[in-house]
Amino acid sequence: MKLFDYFEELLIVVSLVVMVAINFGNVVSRYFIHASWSFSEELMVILFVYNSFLGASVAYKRGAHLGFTVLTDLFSPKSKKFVAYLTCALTTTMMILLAWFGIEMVKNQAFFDQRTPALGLPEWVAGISIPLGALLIIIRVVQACKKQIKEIDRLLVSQAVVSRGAN
Amino acid sequence: MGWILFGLFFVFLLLGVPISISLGLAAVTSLAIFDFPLSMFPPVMYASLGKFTLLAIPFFILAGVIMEYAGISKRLVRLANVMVGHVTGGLAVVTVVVTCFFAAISGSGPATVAAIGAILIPAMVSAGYDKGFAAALMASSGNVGIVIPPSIAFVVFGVLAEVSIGRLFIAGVVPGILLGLALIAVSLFLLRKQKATLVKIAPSTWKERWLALKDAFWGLLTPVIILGGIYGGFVTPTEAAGVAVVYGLMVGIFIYREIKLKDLWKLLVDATVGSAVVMFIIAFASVFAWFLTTGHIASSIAEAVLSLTDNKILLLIMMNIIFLFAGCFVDAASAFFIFVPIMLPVIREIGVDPVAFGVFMTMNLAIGMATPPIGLNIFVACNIAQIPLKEISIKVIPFIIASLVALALVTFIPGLSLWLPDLLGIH
Repeated sequence: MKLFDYFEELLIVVSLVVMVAINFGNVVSRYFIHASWSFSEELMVILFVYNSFLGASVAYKRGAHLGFTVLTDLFSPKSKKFVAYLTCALTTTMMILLAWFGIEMVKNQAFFDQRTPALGLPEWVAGISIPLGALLIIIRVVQACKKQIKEIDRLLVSQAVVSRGAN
Repeated sequence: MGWILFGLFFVFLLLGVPISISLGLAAVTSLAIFDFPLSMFPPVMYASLGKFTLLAIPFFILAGVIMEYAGISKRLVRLANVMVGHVTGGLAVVTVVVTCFFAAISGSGPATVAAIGAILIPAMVSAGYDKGFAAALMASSGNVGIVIPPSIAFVVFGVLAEVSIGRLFIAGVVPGILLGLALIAVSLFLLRKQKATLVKIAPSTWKERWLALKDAFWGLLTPVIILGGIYGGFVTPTEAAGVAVVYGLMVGIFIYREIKLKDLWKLLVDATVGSAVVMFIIAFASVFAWFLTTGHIASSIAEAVLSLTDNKILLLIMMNIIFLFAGCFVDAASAFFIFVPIMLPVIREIGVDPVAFGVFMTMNLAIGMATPPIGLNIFVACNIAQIPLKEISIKVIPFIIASLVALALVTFIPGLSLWLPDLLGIH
């Protein structure tokens, strides 16, 4: 699992560094050598989509995704647990749909042998980021949900202890 | 159709499902119910993510994280402090000015409140300012930054409404300054009453000021490089963001020597997560917006709105109320994707410039973000100041009122946004 975490972050670091480097290189080469890199935008955009899905996956691990929790924060621990399961199920459903129809899209791209305009790369190389990202996120969502349920359970136990002490 | 789409979205949102997933599920379920091809949604999503212009988002966020690690924000605070710190309410002025400056570069409200607030809230408290006041001021100023260029919100609006991002940036300058001045005016007015409890600070010597200026020089140069690069015609806004990253790294590693090589990993991952949260929302919001347009929901709502009234002033007031409300619940990116497809036809019909529209809509969302009990900035500021939500909620009211006055001026006097870009000939 440690290796898995490391790998995810490594891909993030590499993609972002390459994006920054290509962008800077392109600006410098345009002004000093008067030559623009035709492939630069295309490559940066492909890396950017991969980078965003990887980042979204780490954001699940860190609980960084924005949501409106003012209402659910007021719930009792039992209802909180229900909502946590529901959110996990809904998110996973969304990601399964995304992976499923994403694979469909990739299959089409490969079947028609679509190519990117500047680099001539097969279009599916970029497109497959969507189903791969969705699958990665499913793993992180389930992990995050397990952690959340554990925390709620701990809360329930400590509450039970307190109420027994009061009696 | 519209009822199901928006109804589902609200149910998911209120259940605490992340905004991105709420938007995506509402859209996909509606697609399925109304027999639209589901196979369309991943290509729509890819097309919205795969835009070069949007690379400005990770680049600006990374530049902001680097500025913090490089010690640039710290030096800016010190500079502002030696200049005006000794004046009554000087620290409040410092807060607004530095926050505008910093948020201008990082482009994100909550990130700025976290970075600058960590320095300035304790500083204000030790100078005798009320804790709730300090936190409320910080939360409110965090928003000014998203109106002052460069701004991630403007990048998203520009991509969506297909207007020039360069023009939007410049159109935000005067409204941003106006918002900042409104906050300063309220602070000074409120502080007049508690003059007695404030700690007197001796003015700094000119030598100290010169040293602080020299030290902060490289940080002060950042916006000059970004804006100079864009308006000098050297780089696009997206490229400028990437250049700011390289510049910040150079300053942090070689001049200030505060960024260590081992920080780089964490710095890059943190910035990616910050950007990915926004991008993930954009990905699903684009499917939502696509259904709004393809399902002709946007146009029928726009028609319904126009059939209510065609009075420009009434429509503008109505929009402001809707956007302020939306800003309390969702972030700027989702609000743009939900409302721009609906409101843009209305705006065209009543003859409002889309750039002016973008500016006042962004101001609305910014104010919403500092509005209790749900504004994101409020939470960040509360956490830093270690005060309960209730306390900041009361203290922030005068700042919200002042912001609303500035908002009303910008909404009804389009010249405030359009004058500067027209003067500079930026279209």
